[in-house]
Amino acid sequence: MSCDERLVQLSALLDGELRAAEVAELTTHLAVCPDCARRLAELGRLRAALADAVPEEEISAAFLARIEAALNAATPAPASAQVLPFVPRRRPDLRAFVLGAVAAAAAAMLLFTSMKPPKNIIDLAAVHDASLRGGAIGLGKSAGPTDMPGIPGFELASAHRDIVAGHAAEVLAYTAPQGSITLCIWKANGEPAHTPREGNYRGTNIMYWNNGREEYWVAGSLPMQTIEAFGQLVRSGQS
Amino acid sequence: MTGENRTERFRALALPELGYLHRMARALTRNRQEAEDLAQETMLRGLRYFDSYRGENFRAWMAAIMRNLHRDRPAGATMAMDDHDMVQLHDNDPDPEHYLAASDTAVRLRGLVAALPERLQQVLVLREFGDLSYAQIATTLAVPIGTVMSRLAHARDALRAAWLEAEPAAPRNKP
Repeated sequence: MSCDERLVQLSALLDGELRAAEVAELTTHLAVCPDCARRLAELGRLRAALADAVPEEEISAAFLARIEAALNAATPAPASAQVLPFVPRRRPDLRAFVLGAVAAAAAAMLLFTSMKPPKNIIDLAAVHDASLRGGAIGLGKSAGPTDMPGIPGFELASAHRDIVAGHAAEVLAYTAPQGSITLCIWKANGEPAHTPREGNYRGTNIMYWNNGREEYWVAGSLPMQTIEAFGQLVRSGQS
Repeated sequence: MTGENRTERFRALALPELGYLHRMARALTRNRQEAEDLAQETMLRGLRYFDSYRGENFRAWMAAIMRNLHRDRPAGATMAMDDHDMVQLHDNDPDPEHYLAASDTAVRLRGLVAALPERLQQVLVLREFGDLSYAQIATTLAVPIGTVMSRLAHARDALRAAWLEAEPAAPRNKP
């Protein structure tokens, strides 16, 4: 194989797409061929320069808001009245719970990403942009709420990292006999502290506050009193 | 499925990929405004055709949409390069001269990428900025993996040669 014919191999080596035998054979060749070794080094430097030329960036709050607005505008309005079908009560099982937790997280995502937040939320989101550095866009398993105390009457069922309204957030799903609650936490990053505020969006009650270190959002389809009680339990664990 | 549920599903899949789409758009367009327009059009086109999504790699699916949109744009749609703002100042870049030098290099490199033949440019952008595997790129472009490997190698080598030619300060290895 000529050196020009090895160009494809050099490129694939950079991407880790060669088989082990091919890597071994190419490595042997590189040890005795300065032209190919130089070409590989230059390709490596080119790759680094390309990464600098179009660097990874966190999505700005303004652009995210623009995308959200465009998606919302492209979505048909919901029917004004809807009769929900009767669903017989069943004994909860693990599968149903997991599905419920996922649905709750999805509802929270919908809530946070589709509602039109007050202007101060948008402004604060811009401040939060800095917290997204370091590949926070990627989803992953949470390291776990190591400093999150247990919430009496609620069981922590799952925890994962997700993007909520542009923030890299810990998403914690709690369950109780009366239903489930989703708690989202992201770093305040200088966002000013504020006392609890409440709202309702499409049947989901929410309570949110900022303790100066993190922003907390509690969401669930349970009565607001239950959401408030849950929120107060979380807050009492912070003091 | 209601329109809202459909949008919610799309949003859950698409928003985590927005960073990659935005980066690919910046690489393709060389202009931030143009890049954001392209990324937004891709999101809207993706939502419109979401019913045809069959569960393949979602980023690759969206990348194919972006590729088609970019390819179908009128020639005049690519604006003049005005993209010093597309270069981020790294935390460890202490002085303006360093920033400007890095910015000039970045502008020049993006110009070289833009000058590549389309079939080479596409595969390079999907790999370097979309972080797609060879198999995913093959799916996106509907070509064999061998073609992806060959095009990518030639794109890189053409870019390497042009970069060394255009950039006197570009690092070279002495044989």
